[in-house]
Amino acid sequence: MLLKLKTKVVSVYIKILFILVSTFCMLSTNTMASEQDFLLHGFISQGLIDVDGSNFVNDDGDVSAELTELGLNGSYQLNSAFRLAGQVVYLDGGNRYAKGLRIDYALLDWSVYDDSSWQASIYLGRFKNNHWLYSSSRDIPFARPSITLPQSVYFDGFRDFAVGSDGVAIKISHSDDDYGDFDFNLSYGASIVSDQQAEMILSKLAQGKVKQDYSAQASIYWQPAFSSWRFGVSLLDSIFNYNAGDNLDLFVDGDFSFQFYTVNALYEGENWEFSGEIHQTRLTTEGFYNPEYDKAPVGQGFYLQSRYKVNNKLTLLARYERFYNDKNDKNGKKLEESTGGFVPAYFGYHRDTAVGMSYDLSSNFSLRLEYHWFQGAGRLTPVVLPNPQVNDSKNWQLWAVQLMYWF
Amino acid sequence: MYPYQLDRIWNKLTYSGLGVAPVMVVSPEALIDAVRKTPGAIGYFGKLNDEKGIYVIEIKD
Repeated sequence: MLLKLKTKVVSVYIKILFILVSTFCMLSTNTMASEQDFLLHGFISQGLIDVDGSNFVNDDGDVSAELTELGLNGSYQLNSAFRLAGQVVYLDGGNRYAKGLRIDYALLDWSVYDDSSWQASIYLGRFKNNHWLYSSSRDIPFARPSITLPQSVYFDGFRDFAVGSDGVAIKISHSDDDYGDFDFNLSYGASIVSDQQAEMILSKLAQGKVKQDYSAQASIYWQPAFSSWRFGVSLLDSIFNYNAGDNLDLFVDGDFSFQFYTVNALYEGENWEFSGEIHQTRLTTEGFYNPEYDKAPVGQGFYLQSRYKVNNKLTLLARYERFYNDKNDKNGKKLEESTGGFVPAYFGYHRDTAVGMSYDLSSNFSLRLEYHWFQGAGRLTPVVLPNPQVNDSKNWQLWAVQLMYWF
Repeated sequence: MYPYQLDRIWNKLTYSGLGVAPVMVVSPEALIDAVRKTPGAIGYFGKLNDEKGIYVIEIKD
């Protein structure tokens, strides 16, 4: 990985050597110096978020300070092949995900093979999902493109399932002068779903436990030689189940199978940046609602995002996103009919138009602002037993501001 | 590739556990000193007065 990056650094510096050379110096190492064996980094961020017309953050609709993200990580190079790394994060996002301290990743990084065109690493332990455009940086405020990410792909309600796994991950990188750079990622493991997160997805009426059996993922990224474009494909297959509580549980035992496929593209120019992901999901449910229940709706969605760098401090953002839970019920009418009108049709889809800006106060201190216009309640929790009393409008809006510092 | 892309790559490596970002130094002198002291290290600089203890490859644009 480092070698590949180093190769990129070389090509950059050949191009801009004379502009940057006196102001910006960089040292790239193949083998770490002893004083660099242990590295400590972290981030602190706090924001305000206000949602009008849904329970995305809170039920009362007031301006909320439940937008806190803190992290501290360490990396220790044992020798040229092995490294230990871990990160602890504290998150508070209101209704978006379970609040509290958690181990984000804790892994052994084994650099298996390393030459000028091929690198292979194996990660053992708890690793981050590195398969989607922003999956590995979804909790890192300054490393993701916006305060809230496109919910069709980075649904906060499914965060615990999607953020990473305990298991093994493999990353193989290949650089070719003619064909460009390739990254192959494979991972296999299981995520621990907290009771609080399970309650957010299911409802307070679910008394049982949610457990993920496994999640297997693969992705390929390709950046053509000397191109500003990068293209990727990812595949996910996972199984999880629900073990009903003893007595008064509204639900019965259930088995779920979840498949998720994405195709993505990213363009990074000097001022303009474009990115997008198209995806399809298939959620098979056997049991859970009742012992005979067996359905497998296919959901589809996409987002398109653009960022424009006005200058080296100010970046503007615009994004549009569409998603529906069932391709045979894009407007949610069948959902409304099947629930006898209890769940309105707008729970079948999710659309978001977002604008935002990011202002870098210094190289590690940034301010971000954004505004969203949403249509539909398809990405609001609880998912299984929706709450139309609180989420009583098809249209809802969100604004947020966040200050972030990192070291 | 632009400097902001490098920042993104380093940030992704540093905060997701995937790898280690390169060491940053504050002056050309510190860079040469760091290259000299670190086995296998590579640095990029404009003007060089002291070549002792380092191997130099000239890049012309």
